[in-house]
Amino acid sequence: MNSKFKTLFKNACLGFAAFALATAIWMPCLHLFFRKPLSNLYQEKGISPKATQLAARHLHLWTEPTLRQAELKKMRTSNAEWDFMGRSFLVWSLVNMGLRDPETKSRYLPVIDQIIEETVKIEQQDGIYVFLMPYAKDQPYTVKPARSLFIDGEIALMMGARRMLQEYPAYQQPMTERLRLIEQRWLANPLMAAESYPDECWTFDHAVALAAFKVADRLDGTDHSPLCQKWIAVAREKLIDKTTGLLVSSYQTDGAPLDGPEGSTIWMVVHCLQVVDEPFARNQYERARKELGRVALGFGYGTEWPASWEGPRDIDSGVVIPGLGVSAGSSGMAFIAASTFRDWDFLRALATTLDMAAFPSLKKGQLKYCASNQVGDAALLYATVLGPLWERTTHP
Amino acid sequence: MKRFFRFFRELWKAPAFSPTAFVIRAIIITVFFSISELLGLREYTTFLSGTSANVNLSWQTASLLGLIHLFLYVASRAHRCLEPLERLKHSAANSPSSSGATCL
Repeated sequence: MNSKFKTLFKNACLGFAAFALATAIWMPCLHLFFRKPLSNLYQEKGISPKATQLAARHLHLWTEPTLRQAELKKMRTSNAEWDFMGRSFLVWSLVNMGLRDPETKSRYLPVIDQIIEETVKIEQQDGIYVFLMPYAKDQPYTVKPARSLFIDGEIALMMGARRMLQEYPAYQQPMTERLRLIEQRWLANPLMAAESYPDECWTFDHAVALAAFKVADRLDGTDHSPLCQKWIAVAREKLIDKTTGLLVSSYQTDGAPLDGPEGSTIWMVVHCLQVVDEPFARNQYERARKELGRVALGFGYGTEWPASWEGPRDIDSGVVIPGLGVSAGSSGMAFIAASTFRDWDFLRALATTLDMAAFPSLKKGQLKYCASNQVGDAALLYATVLGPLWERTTHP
Repeated sequence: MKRFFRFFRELWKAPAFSPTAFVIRAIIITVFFSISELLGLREYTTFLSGTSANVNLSWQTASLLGLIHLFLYVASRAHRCLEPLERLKHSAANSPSSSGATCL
């Protein structure tokens, strides 16, 4: 009996030791099976294979209305904002692709115009609420008439980006008008805060609008630098989380904070701020990288909140994996920031995670990530081609 | 046929930590994972981004299907690591007094 027990004990110990050893060897090697050259995802010049495949899928969606409606329906069930943002990211991506490879311009311009015109038409017909989450109707906007900076900023940047690829006079006036309204609202508020939702202002949307102002300056010879610098000065003073030094995500029109720093916001904010105040944007990126960017066993990911701040899991964060704190929303947006600041090590680690955990599906040269959705894939596409638009904006 | 069933029974009865048992589990996981792929459950992993793959199903059902695929995927990757080392362990433990596991 004693001998049998000893044998069982010995086998169990060996079993667990083998298990631990196998895990210790296997886990650090796992990423090697998914790690690909960075040029597969991002290239300084030209268009990477992944960008080509992702773009092929999106272009197919925009030429097949039934397919597009099915995709949009899935997203709108969760979040109507994604329908809108998917359009924005795709337009910005196609503009960058057109600037990278001018021969493709003629192919992208009709799609870009179709997206912009359809988006504006929907907004005019159904109002701003069609692209907002239902709680937007729970209370009235503080500033009347109701406008959402989320929509105005992104449409202005869509139009501006299109004009950067090739001038289109029909967009000049509507773009200028949207920016004029934004400027008016910023100047009327001590914090230069404009609402995206009723009494809810998002740093993300302010950063997009700032980038739109810079693009407008480049296109129309205006000078919004004082306005932009004033916003940066106010943000440095009032919108910085004291513990992390990162910009908060959302606040009320009187400056009362709503959400602290969030990955799904800050990665895009630093990207947009790059054309407004590069040193400030870089500083914010480095802080975000330290607080929210992680690389473990060769896999990169983003967390939604820094260690010092725990916010509620919401539609922006996506599913958050307990323990590690991996956030789909933050990880996706981290691609954009890592590309912007040429943080190749982090970008490669993020791409490794993407190929391991996002379930890529390549059919007929069209790539999509099953764990993502249309807006997620469009944001990824943007991360793989960004650069030329900002380059042209800052260095004419 | 009889020989096949005997062989299958021997495989099935292999000790839990033996190489045979790991191979069997690897086969089972591969079969289930393949079925999951064929049924298109990969699409349901979109729940990770907060989206429902099928608007005709409830969010919970769609997420559950995605979760099943996710677990099978992780299992299929994780299980691969155990097999060679378990084989080593088994060689070390394969003394006359220990159980006679069948090596493939």
